This record gives sequence, structure tokens and C-alpha cells, in this order.
Amino acid sequence: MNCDRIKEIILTDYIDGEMKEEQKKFIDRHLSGCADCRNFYETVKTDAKDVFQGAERPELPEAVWQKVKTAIIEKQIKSENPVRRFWESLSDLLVIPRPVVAVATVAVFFCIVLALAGIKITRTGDLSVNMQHMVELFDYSAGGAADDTEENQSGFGTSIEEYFL
Amino acid sequence: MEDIVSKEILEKAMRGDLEAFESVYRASAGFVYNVAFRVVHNKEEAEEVVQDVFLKIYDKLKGFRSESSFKTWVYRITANAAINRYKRIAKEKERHVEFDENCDVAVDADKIGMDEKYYKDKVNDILDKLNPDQKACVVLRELEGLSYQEISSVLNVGINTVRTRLKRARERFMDLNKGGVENEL
Repeated sequence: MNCDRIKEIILTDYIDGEMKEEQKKFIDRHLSGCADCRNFYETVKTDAKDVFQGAERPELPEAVWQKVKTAIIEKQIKSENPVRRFWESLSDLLVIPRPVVAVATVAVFFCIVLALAGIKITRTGDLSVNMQHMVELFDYSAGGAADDTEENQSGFGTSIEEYFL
Repeated sequence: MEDIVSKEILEKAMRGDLEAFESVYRASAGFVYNVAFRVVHNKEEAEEVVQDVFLKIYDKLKGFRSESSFKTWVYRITANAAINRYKRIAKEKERHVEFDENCDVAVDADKIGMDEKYYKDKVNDILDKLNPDQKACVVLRELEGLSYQEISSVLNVGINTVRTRLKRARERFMDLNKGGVENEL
């Protein structure tokens, strides 16, 4: 095992005493013969372990318990309300397991997507019908105008015209 | 992990007995506050974390399964609450700094919201150089004396993740000492 690997172990399992006795002895033997790793161990100990020794535990003010207690009592009072209890028991009855809710959500989502797609198709259908209707209307108008033109052109057959011609 | 309260007290507390719940509080509030304070580094915020943690414990106690250690469960709720609170404070700090930069006011970001009494605490000074996940790992290991296995169950991560977080945190401490902690602060 090379020194880099030994140093990695020193940083975690060795310094934290998370090793089996045999493994620890192996590292101990390496340290006794390797000044570089020994220095590394001393640095880890000073910079990353000893700094936490004797750290003060902050004192929690008594007022915090009073706040917790008050909040719990308020909750208990609310839960003792018969109307609220009725609704809570009703909602307990209506509890649906999470996977069912997830599947139902996905199903509803797909239904919404399909429904929206359906509306879009219908709308597109309406539009195409409308467009067709408009085209027919234009055709009709154009046709009518053409008929008028033809009628004008074929107007040469009127009696007065025939007289002058 | 050795449990902090007897099974009888725990069962009473589970049934909503406030006196039994007070015993649970007395037995665990010390370490809950220590973890919360070391993670959020602000006395008032840590007190709020303690309140949130115990109200959550009270609400969820009925669903607590005694197969897992009660102490581990309390540590888990505490670590999550403290890390979330820390992240929220950090976001607020960022917004403050952005605002102050826009107003051309010089503000030391590390000092916003920090409790003066504890500002000179060396432990908190070096913990503040870590990200919240590394910080929680170091606090549980160095100040609460939890084993890797216990930290792994509290934080719900693998043992190798615990090792990596501790390793990175310690490398950071060593780097800071090389460059001089004072210069960094």
C-alpha cells in the first residue's frame, strides 16, 4: 500500500478509530517507519480533530420548552373540538395510499392532455369546415361574378343590340 | 445507538401524554440544540429549529416504529431541519448581499444574522467553511460522537459518502490552517 492510500485512511477510518485491530496495527507499523505519513497524521490530529476537543455545548433557554408546550396544548385543544375531530376522522377515512395518488395524478394528467388535444382537433375540424365554407362562399361569389360577366358578355343577344348590330 | 428514554415513557408520549413528552424533550433537547446551533450558527434560528423538531416529533410520534433507534430518529429529524434552515438562511443572505451590492454598501456576508456571543467560537468559525452536508457530518462525528454507521442512518446516505464528506471537510481544515485561518476569516 502506498503512502497516498495510507494518508486517505488516516484522514478517515484511522483517525476516527473505525478500523479493525489488525488493520489498525498495519497502519501503526507503516507510521513507525514513515516520517512523512507520521507528520501527516499529526497535522490531521491537530487541525481536524483536536480543534473540536472541549467544544462548549450551547445552553438551551427554558423558554423554548414553554413555546413547544404552548403549541402542543393549542393543538390538543383544536383536536378536541368535536367538529374538527369529525372532519379529521372523515379525512382519515379518505386517506389514499401514496402510489394510488401518484397513479391517479398521472391518469388525470393524461386525461387532461387528451381532452385538450381533442378540443384542439375539434377546433381544427371546425376551422377546416369554416374554411371550406369560406372557400365555397368565395367560389360562389366568384362564380356569381363570372356568371354576371358571362351574362354581360352574352348580352349581345338582346333585341335592341341585335337591332343595332 | 443507545436510547435516551425508556420504552414506557416513549409509549406514554406516543399516546399524547404531555408529561412523558416533556421527559423526551429533557432527554434530547440538548443534542438537538447543539446540532442545530452548530449547523445554522445562529442562536435564534437554532431555537426555532428546536421548536420545529419537537413539534414534528410530537406529530409523528404515533407513527414511530420502535425497530429503529429513537435517538437516531431524533437526530435524523434534527439534521434535516437544521440543513434546510441553513440553506434558507444562506439564500436570504445572498439576496441581502445582492441588494447591498446594488446599494453600494459594504457588508461582510459571513456576519449577517450571526450571533455575537458565539462569533468568536473557533469551532463555528471553521465549520462555516464547509457546505451544510459536510458540516452535519462533522458535527455528528466530532461533537456528538456518532459512528460512521450511525451517521449513515441519520443522514440516510452510504458509509462511503460519510467517509468522503469527512475526508473533504478535514482536507479543508488543513488547507485553512496552511493558509492561516485568520486570513480566511
